[in-house]
Amino acid sequence: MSPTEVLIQQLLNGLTIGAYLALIALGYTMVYGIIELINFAHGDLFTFGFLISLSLFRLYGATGTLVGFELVWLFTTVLLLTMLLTGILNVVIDRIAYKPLRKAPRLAPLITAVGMSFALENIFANWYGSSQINYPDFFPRVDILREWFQMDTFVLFTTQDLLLVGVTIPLMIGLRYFVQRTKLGKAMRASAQNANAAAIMGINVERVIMTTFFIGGALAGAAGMIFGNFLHTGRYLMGFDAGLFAFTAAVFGGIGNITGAMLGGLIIGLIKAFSDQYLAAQWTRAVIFAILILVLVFRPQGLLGQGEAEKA
Amino acid sequence: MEQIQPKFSRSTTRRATAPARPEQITNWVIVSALQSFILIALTPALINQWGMLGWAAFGLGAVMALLCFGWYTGKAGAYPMLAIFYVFSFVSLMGAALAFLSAQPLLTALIFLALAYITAGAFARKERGASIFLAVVLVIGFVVLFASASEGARDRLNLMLLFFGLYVLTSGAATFIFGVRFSDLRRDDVMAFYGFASEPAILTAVETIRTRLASFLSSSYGLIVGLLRPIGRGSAATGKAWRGALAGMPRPALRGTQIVLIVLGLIVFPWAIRQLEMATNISLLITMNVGLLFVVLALGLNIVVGFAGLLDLGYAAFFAIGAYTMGVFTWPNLGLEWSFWIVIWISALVAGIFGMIIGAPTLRLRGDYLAIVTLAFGEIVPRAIREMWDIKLKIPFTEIYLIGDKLEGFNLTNGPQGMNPVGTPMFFGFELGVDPIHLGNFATISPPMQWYFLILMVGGIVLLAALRLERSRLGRAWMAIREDETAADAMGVDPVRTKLLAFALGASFSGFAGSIYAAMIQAIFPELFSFLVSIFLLILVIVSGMGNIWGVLVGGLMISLFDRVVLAQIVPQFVPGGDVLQKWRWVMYAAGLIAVMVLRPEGLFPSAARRAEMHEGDDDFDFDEWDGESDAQIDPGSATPAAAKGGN
Repeated sequence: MSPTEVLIQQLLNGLTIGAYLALIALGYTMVYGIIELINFAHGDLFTFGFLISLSLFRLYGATGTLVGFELVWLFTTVLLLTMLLTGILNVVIDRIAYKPLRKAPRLAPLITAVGMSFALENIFANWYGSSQINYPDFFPRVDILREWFQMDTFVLFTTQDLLLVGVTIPLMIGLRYFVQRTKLGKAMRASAQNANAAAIMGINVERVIMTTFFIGGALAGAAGMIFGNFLHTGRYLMGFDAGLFAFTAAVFGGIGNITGAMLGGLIIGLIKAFSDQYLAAQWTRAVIFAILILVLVFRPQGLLGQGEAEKA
Repeated sequence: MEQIQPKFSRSTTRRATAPARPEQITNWVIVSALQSFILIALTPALINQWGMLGWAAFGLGAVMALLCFGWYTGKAGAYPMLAIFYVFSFVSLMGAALAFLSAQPLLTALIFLALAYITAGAFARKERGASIFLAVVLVIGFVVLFASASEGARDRLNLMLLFFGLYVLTSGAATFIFGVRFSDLRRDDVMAFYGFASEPAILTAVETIRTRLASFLSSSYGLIVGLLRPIGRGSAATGKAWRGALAGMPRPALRGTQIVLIVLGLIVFPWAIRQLEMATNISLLITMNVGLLFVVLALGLNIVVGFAGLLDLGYAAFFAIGAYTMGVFTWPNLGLEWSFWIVIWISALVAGIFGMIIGAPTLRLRGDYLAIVTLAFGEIVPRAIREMWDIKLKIPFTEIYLIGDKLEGFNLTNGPQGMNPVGTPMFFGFELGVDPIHLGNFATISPPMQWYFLILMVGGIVLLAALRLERSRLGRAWMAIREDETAADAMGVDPVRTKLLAFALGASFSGFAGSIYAAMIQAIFPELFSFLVSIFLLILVIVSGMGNIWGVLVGGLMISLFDRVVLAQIVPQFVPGGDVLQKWRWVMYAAGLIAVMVLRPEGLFPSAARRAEMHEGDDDFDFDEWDGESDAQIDPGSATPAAAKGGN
């Protein structure tokens, strides 16, 4: 592969990785915006989406690549079900673990979130085992550039990449529309600004929080399923890694800011792809971690955030 | 005017705070009876019949009995609810065990359940005759057992009954005279316990096990009595003072005899464990050492999380740094081979320096961000260690290598293969922790025991340091920061510097413990220091009551030993289906953490100040829960009549 091809490949990789990271980052940022809690367990919802979609496919009996009409309806159904179930899981987590601690000092829900994340990870380890899990090629994998466009290049852009982009971008656009144009979205924005004032204006803040958790969970679940169809492998700790990256993305873009999360996701995805290629894969984490520290120290409000980040 | 106190009445009269002498004697007798029951019940000839119920009964019965010792020793100061629980469980478990032994299980079990209920009631009402009633229950139990036992079992039971009787009488007498139990009835038992003659040839295997268990119970009795007696002793004052210490108040001064008892108990304890090991064939002392080391670590984490309120999710990283520093300085391949005693302090220093490096940029951030950063750091360090086996540092655009050379990098940590062997402490030319030390023909200090004593000393140092820090100016600064950073800042406490000190000191304690860990297990791998360790330590500190040193000590011991000894060793071997429990144990702990945070965020043994902190917002009005209706009652006679009529 020529250097240009490598570059283009990594650009494409970065954008695709960035897309699903952005989905996860959205969940982090929305929850943080409303209740100022970093939901540590959010990354594990990503894993849950991966695992539950695999279970659903297996339940149906699908083993290999799907074709034709079955592809369309099964895929859509599984996607919607995954999003629904993950969203519900997130709401349940909120109800059990975070709601009783709304008034507690900041440390308490944080610890609970860590505990919840840990519990979920170990449940997954017991559910699917602790080794790598193989996610079969349910969505057909066709090398677009070679077969559709007859280009002779080593750059790999498959239908699965297209799937990823095709699901994540509409979801993000949909979320944007929801938040900006609908009444519930307005309620979310109001609650994020000032929960007490929103309550005075007649908004049921608890219901808004529940919706936020649901949407965040649904997005993470979708990301998990798409990730499965894209990279075909995962393990019970994948949420931990992805969560860390997505959180960095959310902070980078400005925590609490939805557009910021999307932008941050894309940028972090690009950085990850380039680091994997030009440095070594082992050092990607260190690079991302370094970025996190730098952002937190020098510009805690992120790229698109406004004002100074408050003190503890 | 004196009230008549009938023996088994349902009166609600209360006893005096200090129990009368005869009452205390009865208590001791009952206690000895309990002990004897366990011994008898464990006669291995019957063990085969017991199966799971038996082991469950034994395990729980032993725990309950040991707890009962504590309860009986301190009947004056204990909480009645606990007493009811103990008595009820004890009697019903004994009933279960006896039921298994007898030929008519259902009848026996039912009888004992009823007796348990009545006894518990008697104790709950603090009736004078409660303990005597319990003794009667026990006697009835044995009578029933004897009467319903099969022919073949009867002669065994005769022997047991005789043994039981003798045991009760002599131990009752000894108890009455000394107030502390010493085990022995048979000279051979004494010999075996103190290690005379490697294996008593006279005793058969059956009796050996019973002897060993007897000696374990008796010798740990000393420890328990020494420790628990102060908590509930005679006058309620000492008991209250000790319970206050567990709640964070200054602890009362220990009396001479108590100190002697505790020290003796701590010293004797590993031999007691050894007896148990030999009886049950499981390796306890080595895992217990690691568990104790984790408690030491928890004390260190308590400084960061408990005193200063900084959520550190990557504490295992400093543990790893300490361990690998020990490795680097004593690994033969790297050639340094310095003395253990010097390197432990170097490890502490190195870990502290790393704590400063990590803390400096991040401690300005809010709690949430700090948590994430420490989490990431906790992940990075083991990974980095894993990669450090081929370090090459080259000046860019040249071929000059500062570290390593073109073909082979510098091997600092031996990466995924781990470092092995790590150095051991040398004591005047003698290598500790490798060979057993024989004190003449008297006793043997096995290698795990040597490590036990070392960890005990280290634990003592760390405990002392933590106590001193808590009461110092720095400690008060930490607590001020924890409660309200802005106010502390306004009062002249530099938040960043104070938090940095907490972080660095906590890190150095962790490094200290890490180096000892490395020397103890002799082979260290990056996988040993994963996030699991950090979370476990966090659970230890938070569930026990963060900020309260004694609380963390007690709670940490409970959880750590439960995890390391009971779950890891005892359950898989003796409880069928126990490996399921092993699989789910992390989920259990995490669920426990969540439950604690939701229901009782101050932990199991909180200091009063912490409890108040954690429940600060409880009375705040919650707009979210408000359903639009006003609960206010307008008093027609108050304020302005206009308001009363017009508004609501």
